[in-house]
Amino acid sequence: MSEDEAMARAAEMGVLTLEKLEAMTAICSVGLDMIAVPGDTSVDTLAGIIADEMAIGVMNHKTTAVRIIPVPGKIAGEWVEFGGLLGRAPIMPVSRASCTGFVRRGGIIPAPVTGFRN
Amino acid sequence: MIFSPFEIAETLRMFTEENLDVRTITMGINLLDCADSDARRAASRVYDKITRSAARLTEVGNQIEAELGVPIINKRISVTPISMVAGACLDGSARAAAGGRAGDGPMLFAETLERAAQEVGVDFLGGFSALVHRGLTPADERIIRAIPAALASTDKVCASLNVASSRAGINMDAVQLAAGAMKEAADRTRDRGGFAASRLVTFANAPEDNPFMAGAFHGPGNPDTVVHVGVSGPGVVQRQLPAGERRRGYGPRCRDGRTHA
Repeated sequence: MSEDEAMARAAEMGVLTLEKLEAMTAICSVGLDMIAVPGDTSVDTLAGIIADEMAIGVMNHKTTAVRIIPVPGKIAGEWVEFGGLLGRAPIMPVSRASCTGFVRRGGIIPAPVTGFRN
Repeated sequence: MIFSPFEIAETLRMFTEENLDVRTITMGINLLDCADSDARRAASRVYDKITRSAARLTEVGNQIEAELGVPIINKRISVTPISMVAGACLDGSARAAAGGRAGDGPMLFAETLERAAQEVGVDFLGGFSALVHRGLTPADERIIRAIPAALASTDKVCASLNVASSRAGINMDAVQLAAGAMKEAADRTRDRGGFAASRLVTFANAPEDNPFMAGAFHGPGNPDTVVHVGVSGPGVVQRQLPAGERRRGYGPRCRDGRTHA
C-alpha cells in the first residue's frame, strides 16, 4: 500500500478499504502488504486479520502474507511517513467489532480436504 | 551467445527510457551447518559463513552496474530460518530454560545477523524466521517472542513466520503470537511510526526460495548458496499501454498472449 502512490490515494478517498483489499487478495496479489492501521488496534483484531488472510491462502493453495503496521498514536485518516522506497501510507480504518472469542480458541484450524492429496 | 544490434538497442532503451532495472539481487545462504549446542560458537559460525559467502556480493553488484549500466537498486541476503539453526542451543533443555549463559538467547543471533549484514554492506538480511504452520518447537517460540526486540534493535534484519499451509491448516496459536509480535514491534519503534513492524511478514504457504523482503528466507530445499535476481517491470508495462491507447480495451493486446500494436 505505502509503496504504491495510486493505491495510497485510493485508500485516502475511501475507495480502497481493508475489507476490499482482503477480498482482492482472494483473486490476485499475495496479501496485505505495508498497510497502516490505527495504533490502538488490538492484538486480537490483528490476529483476526492475519487469520482471515491465511484462510484465503490455505483455501486457494497459494501464498498469502500480512505486513501490517499498527502505527502508535495515529488514528484512521491520518498519514504515516516511512521514507525511502516504503513511502507514505494513510491509516486505514479497522472494524471495531471484537473477534477475541474466535482467535483465542487457539489450536489448529484443519486444512481443507484437498490437504489430504499427495 | 551473439546479440543482434536490434536486441542491444532494445535492451538499452528499456534501461534508459522504460525504467527497467534490477530491483534486487538476493543471495540465499544455508546456515544449517552452523548449528551448535554452544550458542556463541553457533553465532560465530553464522557470522563467518555469511561474511565469507557474501564477501563480494555488493562489490560484484556494483561492478555489474558500472560495466553494463544496469541499475541494481538493492543488495540483500536471505538465510536459513534462524529457529532451525538456533534449535540446537535454544532448545527446551534445563540449561536453556534457565536462560543459559547471559546473552546466549535469540538476541545473540539477531545481533550477529545485523553485524554480518553491516559488514558485507547489504541493504537487508531476511531470515529471523520460524516455520510453525503445524506447531512450535521450543526454539521457534523463543525466536518469535524475541522478534519485537530483534527488529527494534536492528536496522537490516527482517523477520517472517509461516503460520499456515494448505496441507496443515492454520496454527491459531502462532497467529496470536504473530499478532502480538507485530503490535509490540510497532510499539517499540513508536518514534519512527512503528517502523519495525514493516520488517515482519506473516505467511500462509511461504515459498522456500522467497527472495522478497521482508519475508525472504533460504528454505531447507535449497543449495548451499544461491543468487536470486529480481527485475522491475512496471515501467515497461506502462510503456506498452500509452495513455491514448488505454481506451481501446484489453482484447487486441491480449488475445494470444502477445502485444499487438
